[in-house]
Amino acid sequence: MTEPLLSIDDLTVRYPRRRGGPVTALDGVSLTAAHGRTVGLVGESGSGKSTLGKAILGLVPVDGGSITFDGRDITRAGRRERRELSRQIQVVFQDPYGSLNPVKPIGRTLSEPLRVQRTIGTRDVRARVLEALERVGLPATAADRYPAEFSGGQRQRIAIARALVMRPRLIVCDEPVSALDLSLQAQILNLFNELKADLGVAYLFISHDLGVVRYLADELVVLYHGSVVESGATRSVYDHPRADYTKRLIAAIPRAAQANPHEKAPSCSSES
Amino acid sequence: MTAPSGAEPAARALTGAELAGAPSGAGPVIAPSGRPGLARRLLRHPLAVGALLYLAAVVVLAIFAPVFAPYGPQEADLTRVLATPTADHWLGTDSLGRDIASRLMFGARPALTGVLVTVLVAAVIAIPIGLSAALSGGADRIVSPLVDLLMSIPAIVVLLMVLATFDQELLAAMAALGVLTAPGLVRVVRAAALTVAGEPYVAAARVYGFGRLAIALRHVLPRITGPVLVNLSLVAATALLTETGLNFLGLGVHLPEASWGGMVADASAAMNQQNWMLVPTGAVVAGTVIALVLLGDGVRDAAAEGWARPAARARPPRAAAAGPERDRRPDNAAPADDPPILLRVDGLAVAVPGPGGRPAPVIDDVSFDLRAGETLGIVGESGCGKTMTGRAVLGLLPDGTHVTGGSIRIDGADATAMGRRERAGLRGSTIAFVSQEPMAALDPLFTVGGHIAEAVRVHTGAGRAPARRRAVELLGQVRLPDPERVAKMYPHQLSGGMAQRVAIALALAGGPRLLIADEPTTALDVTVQAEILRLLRTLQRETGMAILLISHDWGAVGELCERTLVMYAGQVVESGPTATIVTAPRHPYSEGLLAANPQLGTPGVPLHVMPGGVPAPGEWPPGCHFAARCPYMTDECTAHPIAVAGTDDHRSRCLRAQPAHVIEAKP
Amino acid sequence: MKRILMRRLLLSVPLLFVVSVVVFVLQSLIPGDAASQLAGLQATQEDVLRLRRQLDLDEPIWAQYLHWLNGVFHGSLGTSLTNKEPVTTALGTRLPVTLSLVLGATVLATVLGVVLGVASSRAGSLAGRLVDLLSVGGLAIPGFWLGLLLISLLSVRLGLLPATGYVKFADSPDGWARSLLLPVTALALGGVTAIAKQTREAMLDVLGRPHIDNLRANGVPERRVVFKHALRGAAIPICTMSSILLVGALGGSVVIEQVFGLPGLGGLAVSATGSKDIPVIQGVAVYFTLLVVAANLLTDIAYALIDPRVRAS
Repeated sequence: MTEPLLSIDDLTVRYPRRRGGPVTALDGVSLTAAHGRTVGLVGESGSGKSTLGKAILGLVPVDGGSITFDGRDITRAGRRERRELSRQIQVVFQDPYGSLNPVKPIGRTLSEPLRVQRTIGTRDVRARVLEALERVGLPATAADRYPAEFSGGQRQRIAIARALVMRPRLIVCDEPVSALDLSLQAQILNLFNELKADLGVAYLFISHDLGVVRYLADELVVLYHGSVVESGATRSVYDHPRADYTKRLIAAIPRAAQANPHEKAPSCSSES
Repeated sequence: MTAPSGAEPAARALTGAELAGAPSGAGPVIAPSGRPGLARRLLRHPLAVGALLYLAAVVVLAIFAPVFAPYGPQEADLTRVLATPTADHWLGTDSLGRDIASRLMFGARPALTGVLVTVLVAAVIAIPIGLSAALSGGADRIVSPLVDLLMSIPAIVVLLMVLATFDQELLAAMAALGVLTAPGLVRVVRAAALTVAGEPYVAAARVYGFGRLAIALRHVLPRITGPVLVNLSLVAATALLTETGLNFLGLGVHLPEASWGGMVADASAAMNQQNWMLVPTGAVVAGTVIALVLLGDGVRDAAAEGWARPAARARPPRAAAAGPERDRRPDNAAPADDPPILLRVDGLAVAVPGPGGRPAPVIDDVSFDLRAGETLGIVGESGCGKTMTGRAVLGLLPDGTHVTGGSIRIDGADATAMGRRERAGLRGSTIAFVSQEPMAALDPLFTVGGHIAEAVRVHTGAGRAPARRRAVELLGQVRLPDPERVAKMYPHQLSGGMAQRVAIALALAGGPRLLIADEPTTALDVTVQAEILRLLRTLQRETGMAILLISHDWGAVGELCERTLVMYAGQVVESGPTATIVTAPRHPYSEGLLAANPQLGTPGVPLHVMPGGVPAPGEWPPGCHFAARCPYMTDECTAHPIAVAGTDDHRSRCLRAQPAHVIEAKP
Repeated sequence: MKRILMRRLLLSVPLLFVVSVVVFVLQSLIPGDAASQLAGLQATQEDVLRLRRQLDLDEPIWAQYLHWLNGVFHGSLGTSLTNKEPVTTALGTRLPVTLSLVLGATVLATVLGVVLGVASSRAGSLAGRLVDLLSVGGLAIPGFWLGLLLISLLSVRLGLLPATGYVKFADSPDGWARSLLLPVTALALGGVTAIAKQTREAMLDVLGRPHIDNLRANGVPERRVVFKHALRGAAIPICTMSSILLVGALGGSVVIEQVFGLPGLGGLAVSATGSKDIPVIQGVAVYFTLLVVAANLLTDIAYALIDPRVRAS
């Protein structure tokens, strides 16, 4: 049980540019994720956090280093291997509007990953779709409707259900609650935690929002300009940040939201 | 042979409309599942039905021309040449006495076959190539330059050569036209497919192991059928016009075979004697082109209806909720010895056009005061009316949206009673605005300095050079390093944080007394957010202007605002000093919203959750708007509108906050 | 900016090459050749062969092409097979006609289209519908048919304008304008509506963007918002449309020249194709392609002038 579910070692990803040399999006990133745990990945836009998720999912080519899932090297998995891997690794994206094909009813969207596997009978497919919908708190009738008929929060539930039908062991969540309002965000965050407790699924939770990650993640990895600047147990990183960037990130969280009547808003009267 | 009128740009616009078609409504919509098929939906578009009937008639008449035509195509009656319509020849006769109606039927044959050939050739070439260019970078590197090259080949020269080569074989020319049209269509397909291919659901499909072909066929092609069909209908229209033009030149169908273009040529030859012949020949061509275009539009619309949000259902009319009896104190009245009131919003109600054209309220009974130099936050989730409140104060409500009640007094003057021009005069000089997306808020075509100098000149009437100097000063004031250099930059060269500083400098150009900032930090990185909030606070102290901060983020409001309004479903549900609301909220919604903040949550303990979502405008219950989600709900909550109550300093729209006598005073 | 222009100019070389090769290959497929056409029906086999040798038509196709290409590098497009006139001369006398017609139609369509489009984008949905209606109509009515209608009404019936013929600008600027008015109108019709529609859509798109909203919210007057910011923002798609129109008008001009009896390049192309006069066909193809290149170049320059992001990339 000591072997981690996901292990990333010295991963480098470069994007080619029209002119000039390639941009290095990830520069020697290493991290591990254990079974049934949540790893939070924070960083500002352009820090490479989404690229890391895409690399794990095989959506961007890797230039160096390795990605090991459940003891096997998946750094350059081919399409057939990916198809098989998709039973283990799933994804939830940020945009609740773009993440579902608007021309397909929900049921089709949810059953598609199952049908690709070609190993599951039609009746089982239907059963697993309904099970996933129920799991995320949507009625069975949702299967016959189109994405446009659902609100942002409901669509995000559907996107989670799509990941769940495969009964994966790892879900890569790329800013899954950033587009949602606070009360919906809380609903989805609770759902993530329930699924983790009930199904033992592990998350790689990518977010720019330290508040969300602090609440949800067991471990925290801070990414800055394509490199890991700090990682460790969430609590300890949050309470005792060592890297300069992490300190700035934590300092930037508005204190007034902390509902502490005794603590006055910090006096930042001067602008640098 | 006319210009390929607008095939490409029209399609681009349509693509945009279509792909952006996902509505952003918040509330759940329960609609009957199971939609009628495409054909049935198409029948709901009267124009498309008309076009379809017309085209069907043309096709049937062409195919069965020998049966339907009263005369043979070459049947000449030299005793009745150039006749106007009669009972025998109901469209008249040509210069050889041949029946025009019959010849039009026979002439439809080469026209329709030619169009079909062109469309098929163009589609067969363009759709696979366009799709592969969009989905594979390698293919795109070959296809795109090739398309650029081929689009520059003058089509007419090639057509003439093809006609000469194949001995005036019209179909060969039409096939060549298909080939020549294909590059333009490739562009359309590629552009539309690229938009779709960038969507997360396509990435998700790749994650479950779909290959490119499967993605193209299952996910991309169905989405782009709309723009592709519209463009094919334009290709068909262009093909028909080309076919007619070639026949007009005598280069297509061999005489004396009937063709539409040839008949126009006949008409032109006879023009000195009679010009009736121009009418039926021109009309049939124009009519067919129009039908093709309208059918394309109709199919596109019908295809989109299959998955787009269904048209809003008619709702049973509800008795208009009577305005609650309010004491006329605004919701956040403050002690009297404060600075003068700059903005007084009183009982504001705003409505948008709802289903069936009936107005649906989006803001209901909003009242607050904002004193000079004060900072006021408006907090709430999307769909609660925060932004709409800000827009109403600016006098810039979206089209069709109206203030339906209450008043907005700016500096003592009733803004709702002002004329357009007078109202516009307040903007920038008295009230300025900073929006959410700093990049999008700046005109990409103007330099930062030019942008701000324009605003300075508008507000101060300064000359070019002084305005420019003032612009640089303002850039310095928002703490941009090296303002001279920044002034020469274009928006696309700025980072998000810089762009927001520029946007703030622009807002400061007219020396406003009130700055409305609508989610000014939401789109920025966390560390930059903090800097912008600090900047706003610094500027507020320096200039003494008041700030109205609209935000969903308690943190931002807490950082900047002395007082806060909490809005829910179009109403102010709580108002008071920010610190008090944050520590001791009185309204259950404020309480729920604060508790939902993961920032305050304990890891491992479920967050406090308010079930459901914000009701959409038009779906507000008659009583408390929050009742359905409220843990403290009683029967009384849903009975009638709830008034605002509380102390002068801290008020809330909840029965729990009301002394008993206020409840009894309800109608 | 320079890079963009260089790229466009460099691209035009393969373009001209491709066009000339395509034309050469296509013409080699045409059954019969200029020799048999010129020799006439009574000619013997020997006559045709002699003529073919005289015209260098007995060489293999690639040799003919190289021959022609060599001429091009020396500034010659060859001589017409039918009347021995140098191709550049034959084209030179006809180019001004086609150029006046095509440029006139493009300018007219752009100016009218922009005015209509801006007006309808500001005037609400009714004017918008009107432009929609016009654009379907403008697309649907064949230009040559409209030309005939105009001749029938304005020339034949009312005698206001000449029905056919071309007057050189040098001979009489007034006569030149009068001779072009109807053909330019007929050729521009489809374009006006295309530009109007494009302008309206681009304007509505730009007017709906946040920066326009931000300008209004910060007190920039509506007139400046519409004409300085929105119209400039809409200018790129309008330019694109204009250049598409110009290229399309080259094709349309062939028919319009026929209707109005204008001695332009189009008529020459039609007759040269009929008589297999290869050098002339090549010449027309080269001229048309050069016009397309020029149109693309102008469009690129316009893009760069309008949009700083284009200049930067």
